[in-house]
Amino acid sequence: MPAYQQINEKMVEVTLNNEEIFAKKGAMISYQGDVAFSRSFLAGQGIQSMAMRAVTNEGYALMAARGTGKVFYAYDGLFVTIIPVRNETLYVESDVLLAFDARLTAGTMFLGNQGGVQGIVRGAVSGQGLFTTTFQGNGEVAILSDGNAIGLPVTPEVPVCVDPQAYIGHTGNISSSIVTDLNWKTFVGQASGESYQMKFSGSGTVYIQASER
Amino acid sequence: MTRFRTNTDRLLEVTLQDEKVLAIAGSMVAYTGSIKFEKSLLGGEGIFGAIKRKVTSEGMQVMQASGTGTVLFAQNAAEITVIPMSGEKITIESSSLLTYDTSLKTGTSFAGLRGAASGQGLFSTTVEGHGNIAVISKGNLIMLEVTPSTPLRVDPDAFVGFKGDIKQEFVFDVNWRTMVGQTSGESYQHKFTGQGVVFIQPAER
Repeated sequence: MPAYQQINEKMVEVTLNNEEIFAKKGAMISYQGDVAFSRSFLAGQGIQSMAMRAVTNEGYALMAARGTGKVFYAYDGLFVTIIPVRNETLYVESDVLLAFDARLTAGTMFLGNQGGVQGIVRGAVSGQGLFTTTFQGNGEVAILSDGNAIGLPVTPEVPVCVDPQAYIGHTGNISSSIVTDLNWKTFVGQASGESYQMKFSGSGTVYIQASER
Repeated sequence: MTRFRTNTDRLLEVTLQDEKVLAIAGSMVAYTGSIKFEKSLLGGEGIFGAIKRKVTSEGMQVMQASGTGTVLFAQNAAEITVIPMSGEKITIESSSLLTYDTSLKTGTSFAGLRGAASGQGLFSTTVEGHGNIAVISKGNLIMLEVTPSTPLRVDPDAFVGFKGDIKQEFVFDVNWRTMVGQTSGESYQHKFTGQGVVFIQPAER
């Protein structure tokens, strides 16, 4: 199984042993061994998933690396974090995806399914579309962030509110909703810049980055 | 008393116990507990201070976070340094001031000719009193000591702020090459003399 190793905060190394890994197109910076790269249309997920992605615009251009050796990935000087997925579902924005392998099942989820009308509002507010990418199974996903990615623990007693522009993804049994902090000042053009937040409650982890898109 | 702590180099964690803190509008990335965010119309400076800001265009879009809980602030993945203050006065570029306690007094000061070259306005923000401030810089904040025998020259584009008993002036390094367009890129500097500390960042705006 492909082994992920963090080289420094902006670079990840994946060891392949006659295996296949999918990564953001153009993110390979060097490799050792006998590895072939090709554009991946299906990303190991079958026709239906691809069609879904094309329709929903949650499109990510992927390339597959296949063979035996070591591949180094980095992208645009962004920080890299390896998130373990242990028999759970990771929800992540497709544009922060750096690398994953076939042990995980990737899918596309309509936010509206999860949060009803509020889910749709959330997509509209965060400007990241109404769909998000999901990973299920047992493995690792390497993600990109502007500044270090931080995992904030969410417990039933302590819900976490997050700026939609700093949100990267989440795992665990978490439900999200939109909270608004509007007052008369917002309506006379004196907004605090923090009028909408995503509130996560339940138990799990929310990942954020130290920057706002 | 509010507690400031850097969670990582780029993330500031402020713990509030029914307290208030002021920050650049839009810099909150996450919070727990019960916190309200409001545009601070006066930035804790009163009507007179607000008018002065308007006139000097050393404008700060400031919001106030109040309540009980923990707030995380970050801005463009910039490095954050917490500076505790006990009575002294710090002069700082308003765009570098991420968060500050409401117990501190802020104002504007005339920065002299420097502004013309750095394009940061002719005025700087001053912070005075007891409390914490969080400063953002592109790259780690570097603190350079200035003593009467060793004055310091700084590129205006890298300048962030200073504290202590320091006089600042504007120096030119212009020769005939500058006039014919062959400039070294370092024709204007900021000279600090006296006793204190100057803050710079390893990047030029």
